[in-house]
Amino acid sequence: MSEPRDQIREHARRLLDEGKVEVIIGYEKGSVPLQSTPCFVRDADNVERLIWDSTCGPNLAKYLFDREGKTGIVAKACDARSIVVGIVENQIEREDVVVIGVPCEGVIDLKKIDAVLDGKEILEASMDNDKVSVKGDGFEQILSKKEFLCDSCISCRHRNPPVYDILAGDELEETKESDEFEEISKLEAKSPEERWNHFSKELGKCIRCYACRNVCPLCYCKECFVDETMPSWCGKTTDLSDTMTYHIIRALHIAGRCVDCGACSRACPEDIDLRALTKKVEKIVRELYDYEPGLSLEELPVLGIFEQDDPQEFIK
Amino acid sequence: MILRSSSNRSVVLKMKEKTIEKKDLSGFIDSLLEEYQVFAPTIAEGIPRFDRISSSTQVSLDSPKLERSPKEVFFPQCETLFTYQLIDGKMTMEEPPALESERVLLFVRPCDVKALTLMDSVFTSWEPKDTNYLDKREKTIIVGRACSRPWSTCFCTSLGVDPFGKEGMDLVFEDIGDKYVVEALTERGGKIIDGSSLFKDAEKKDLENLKEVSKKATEAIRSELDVKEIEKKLKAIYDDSFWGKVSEKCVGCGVCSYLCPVCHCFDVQDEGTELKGKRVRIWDACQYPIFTLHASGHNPRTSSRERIRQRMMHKFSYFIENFGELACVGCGRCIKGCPGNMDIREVLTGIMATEAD
Amino acid sequence: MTSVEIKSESKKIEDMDKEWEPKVLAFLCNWCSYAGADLAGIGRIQYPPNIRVIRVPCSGRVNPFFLIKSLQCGIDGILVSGCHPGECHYVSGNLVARRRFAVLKSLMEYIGIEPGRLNFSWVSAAEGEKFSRVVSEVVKEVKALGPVKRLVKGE
Repeated sequence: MSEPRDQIREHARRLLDEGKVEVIIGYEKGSVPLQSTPCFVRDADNVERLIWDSTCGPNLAKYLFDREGKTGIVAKACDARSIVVGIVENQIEREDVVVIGVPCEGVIDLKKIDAVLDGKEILEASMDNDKVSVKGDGFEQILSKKEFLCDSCISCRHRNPPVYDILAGDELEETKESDEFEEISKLEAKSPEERWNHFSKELGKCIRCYACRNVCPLCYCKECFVDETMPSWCGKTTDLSDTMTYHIIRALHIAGRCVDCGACSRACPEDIDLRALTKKVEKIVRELYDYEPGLSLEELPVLGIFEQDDPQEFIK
Repeated sequence: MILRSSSNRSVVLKMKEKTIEKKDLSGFIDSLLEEYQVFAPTIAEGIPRFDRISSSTQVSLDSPKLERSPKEVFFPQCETLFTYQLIDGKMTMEEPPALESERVLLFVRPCDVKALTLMDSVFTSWEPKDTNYLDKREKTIIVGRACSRPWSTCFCTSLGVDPFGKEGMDLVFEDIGDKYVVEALTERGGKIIDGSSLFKDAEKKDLENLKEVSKKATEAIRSELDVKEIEKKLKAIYDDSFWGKVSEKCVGCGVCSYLCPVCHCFDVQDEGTELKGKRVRIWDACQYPIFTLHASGHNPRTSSRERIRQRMMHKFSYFIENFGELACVGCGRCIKGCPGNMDIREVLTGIMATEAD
Repeated sequence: MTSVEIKSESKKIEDMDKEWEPKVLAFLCNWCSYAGADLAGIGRIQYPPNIRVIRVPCSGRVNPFFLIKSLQCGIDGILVSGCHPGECHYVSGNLVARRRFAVLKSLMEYIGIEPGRLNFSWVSAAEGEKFSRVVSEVVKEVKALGPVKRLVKGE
């Protein structure tokens, strides 16, 4: 069996040649070491640009929303789950999309690598199965890839895309090594005051650039609540109350929809621990309604439906 | 430029270079703190940025990442323009007071100082001048630092910025190993080192070292771009299909604008009730779809194609028309910050390589 | 209700008494709890005067924005009250709202907002007694918490 990358290229070439799709959305090598960048291939001669490795972080499902025409897309499991949510919510037409699913062992978090290099800049990098070697001015280091995966990949329970048309690569065994809600449980164990202080500090860093919102495939509202002016629900300043409101409401809006792809955390220029919020809403929905989003095309949005006997202990 | 001709910033001095041992630097900073509000690169919550300091121990000169641009020292992300209050049926309005004392901004890279001079053009070179900006700018002494450690994404030299350039600085520190060569460029700059025993006259050897360090740093900049007459090129390809392709991966966040030392667009918001409130200005970014949304609901820039084009046109064409300079200093912050790894160097190369349809 | 209205309402409550009294906003469903409040009034059933009522067509109309914005404006406590499950005028508005409120309440408590700030109840048009009891409970709890500080927007 050939490498997933070669399979992706092969399928992309065929889909374009046969006119099944107008464009293939995938990843290509980025301009900065260990970064990939979204790539739109329209010509079968250009499929060699497509890559697949542990730098393929951005959630490409973002580009399917609001797109017209037949589209092929390279989707790791979390991207595929976002696509499923998009289809379930009637934002993406199933028949307009050809999903080239790729089983994924996790993508690397550049911020974690930068942290151990302590200011040394990576000028060149290469990767194999479990090692990342980085080179720069006067240093060369070989790192174990496993230690530098994104947090969302470490706790990932779905490494295989649940829905796809073509699978590039072999299915992986799912892992359940660690407790995926470990960090959340730690926070839950703290007092309300400690938690408030934690979130004040974390969310206080926000510069309101909306990178978290804009990289999120599920933030597809035509007009985001922060942009609404009549009435204005959320102030646009960097006042703590406003930034907290923004993050609380965003977390609520993706409750029962977020697939924990980690794109928001990776995009944040201030390194805010956004997963502390998104993972929490995931946990709430899991505990209350035993639901995980993006796994089946048959399911309905969990917060749009109800059961007669839903938990209601909190209601007087 | 009006700012410079109206202040003593324009007085270019030829003072003899001094040196200061690196170990004495904290002593110098602490002595400045006795007299001035001092802003310097610090690390706050893991992010290197320029902030007001109260002790020299807060200064971080070897931060593991390129620090945030110092534009927020003059143009804060969120700034109150005035407050209002209804008292006994009478509306009173108050503007925030002007700065009471002079400030010193320490260790700014040449690209960022260049960026400040470009912001000066926008905020102070035509009427009405932006008094909020001007007040902070005029009362701040700029201490630059020669950039002896460029990052891999730096491309300043391609845009005419010299990593050892001194334009816009009042005083400059140049790292030559165990000491800095210090050169006062204006009277205000000279004022803050005058009388300090920590500074010695530079020896010939120091100046030779400096030459070498500067040559090395300039050579260390890896990216070379040719943007000659880019403004003409941009005009010619305004309607080219190039923009559709290049903008496809942009998700429309504000990272590039917020990290950019030159981007200066802002939005004005009123906050409060009919009794009490304030008008604030906050940073805005041209990649947001609502940036150009009209009250009527019409939006002249409907897609990222128009928005990316606007960003490039503004920086590399309109700004030249208005002020004769490029509105990009090649610091590379947007390259590393972009969540989709949209690389402005590649966009520029693409523009130069595109032949008009 | 705009922030201006919320603020002027809260100021009225403030002026009532020199001693600190909590300001509680009650979002009441037109078809049940609002009528329940009326019934309490007609029946002369006493309850604390700290609440200000906002009538909504259904508990399903209550957007989390309303609650968060209220806290931002300095409201000390909030009560949302709708129809018992199975009794919604629009069949299922309260049931969909129930899920939304469950997530909202959990998340707000996790962030560090005191549990007593956000309260939810089912009160039918026939339950004047229950309405009075719920309001008394809520006001007592909010009073014990003291004035709201977290999430309040600074001047």
